[in-house]
Amino acid sequence: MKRLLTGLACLAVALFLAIALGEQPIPPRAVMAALLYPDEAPVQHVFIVHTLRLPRAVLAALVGAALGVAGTITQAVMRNPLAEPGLLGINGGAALAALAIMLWLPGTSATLVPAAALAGALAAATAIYALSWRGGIGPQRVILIGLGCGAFMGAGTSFLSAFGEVTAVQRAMLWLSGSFSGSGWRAVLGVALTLAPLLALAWIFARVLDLLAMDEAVARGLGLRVQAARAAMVAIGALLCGASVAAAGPVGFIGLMAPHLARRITGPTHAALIPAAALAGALLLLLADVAGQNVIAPNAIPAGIMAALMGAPFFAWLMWKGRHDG
Amino acid sequence: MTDDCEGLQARQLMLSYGRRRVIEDVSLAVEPGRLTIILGPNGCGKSTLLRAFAGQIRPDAGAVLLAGRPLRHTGARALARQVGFLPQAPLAPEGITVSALVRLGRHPHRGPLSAWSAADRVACDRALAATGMSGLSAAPLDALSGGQRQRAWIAMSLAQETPTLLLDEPTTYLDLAHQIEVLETLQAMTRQGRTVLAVLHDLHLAARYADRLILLHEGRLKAEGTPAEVLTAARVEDVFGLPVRILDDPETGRPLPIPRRRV
Repeated sequence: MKRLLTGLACLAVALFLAIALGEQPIPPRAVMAALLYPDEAPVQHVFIVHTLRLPRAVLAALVGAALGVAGTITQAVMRNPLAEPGLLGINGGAALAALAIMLWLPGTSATLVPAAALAGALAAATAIYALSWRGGIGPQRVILIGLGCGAFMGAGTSFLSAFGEVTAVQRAMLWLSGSFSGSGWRAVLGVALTLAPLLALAWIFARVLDLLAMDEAVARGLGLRVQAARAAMVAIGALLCGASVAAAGPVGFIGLMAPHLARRITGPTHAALIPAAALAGALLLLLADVAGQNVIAPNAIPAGIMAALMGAPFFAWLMWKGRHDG
Repeated sequence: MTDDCEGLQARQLMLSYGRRRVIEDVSLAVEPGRLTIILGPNGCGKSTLLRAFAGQIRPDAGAVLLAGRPLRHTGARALARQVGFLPQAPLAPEGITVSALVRLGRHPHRGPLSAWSAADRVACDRALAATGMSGLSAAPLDALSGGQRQRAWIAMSLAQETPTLLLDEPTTYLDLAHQIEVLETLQAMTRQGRTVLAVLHDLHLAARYADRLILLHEGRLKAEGTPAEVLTAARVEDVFGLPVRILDDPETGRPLPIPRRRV
């Protein structure tokens, strides 16, 4: 409980930072004023806080939480701590579908891209699941087939961008790097309504995840219908991840890193791990977005790129330290 | 053999592993409230038979019955409240603690939304105490010795509170002292009225602790009965291809097979 409160406090601080920092920094007291007394605060501050930065920050936190939980689910189902939601084909499928739409149907992209991305993500996940099926799915086979399909879709994406029209490709590339720019409250509400029930389901099924992470024979001996449970959990993970991709483009690495960070604090029991991974993911992606907007301001680095730039060395350090601590 | 028998039975059971037929027409009844040990040479189908008794594999023909009803007609959770199963050298996620592992044993007794109940806690405490693991409940499984780890797994199965418990080679990788410790735990469970069925390699330990032995050879039931009935010199030589003398274990009076010196 104390750890949960600490985590929430960290998230609150990060949200505050996200609101205060930017191309035009706002002092902390003015931020508080704009948040608490919007009627009396300067209009300009209120606009920046409520219309520009707060929805963007909330969206980054939501997507980060979803990716953290999707990663936790993937690692449990695949019984492999190196698995990440990308293995389910989500990012690859979303990228390919979104790129195809952007290149072939220019103009409609603003509304159609998220829908196409979600459809592509779910289609890829379904295809990988179906290809792995042999009287049930085995984690090893899913991982191998997921890697294969990922490479195939990556090649398709590269092919499209190599031969597409240059400005369209450039716009697509920005989307493909995972960005929260221009997100408003409507997007936040839509994403929140999609993600909240999925996150709740993942937490309710925490014990099922505990069992799936065990030996299959043990799980079955404890009364779990392993194949049905696996399919259900993969579906929840794919939907979480697909909805995130639709909202922000493919953001890598959070799904791998957040569960690892969380596991160090809570251990492998999912009732605690799921909320911790959600918090870790939210915190990481929010900080990545804040950093991305500020390190080389006024230019912004998309959060997805920043997450990998900051995350990869940190993650490597974490693993190195873990090994040397024994 | 009648259908209203209360325990586990195999009836004309045929089992395959992949395309290979492993168990051929085995019929037998596991005697309730006893420690029964399945013996046989490598590859004779011991583990496959045990897995079929646990409802983990589907028979090609014949059936496994629990209290006269075919296992496949029993739901997964309902079965998990009747029969516990511990595979050989099971895997657990890194960093899991003994108490978290043991709590998983309560899964078949809990609904998807039900909170952790007093009955769950009592069952776990009792399971930890029965295996001597109470003092190590906060320890991570990876940090334990082989014997302690095996006892933690048995504690998980005990917390499941099933009348019947099936174990696949529960003494593998353990030194002699820990093997005896595990077998004594199993023996103590039968004294509380549980039925225990285990696969074991060691003829001597099996003869020493089992109430009943099941001897398999090339997928068929070779013999079944008390250790003295099953372990005759002629049969051991026939099944294992090894000439033995059967002595009386000076501690227990049970049969003690000693391989003859090859000339």
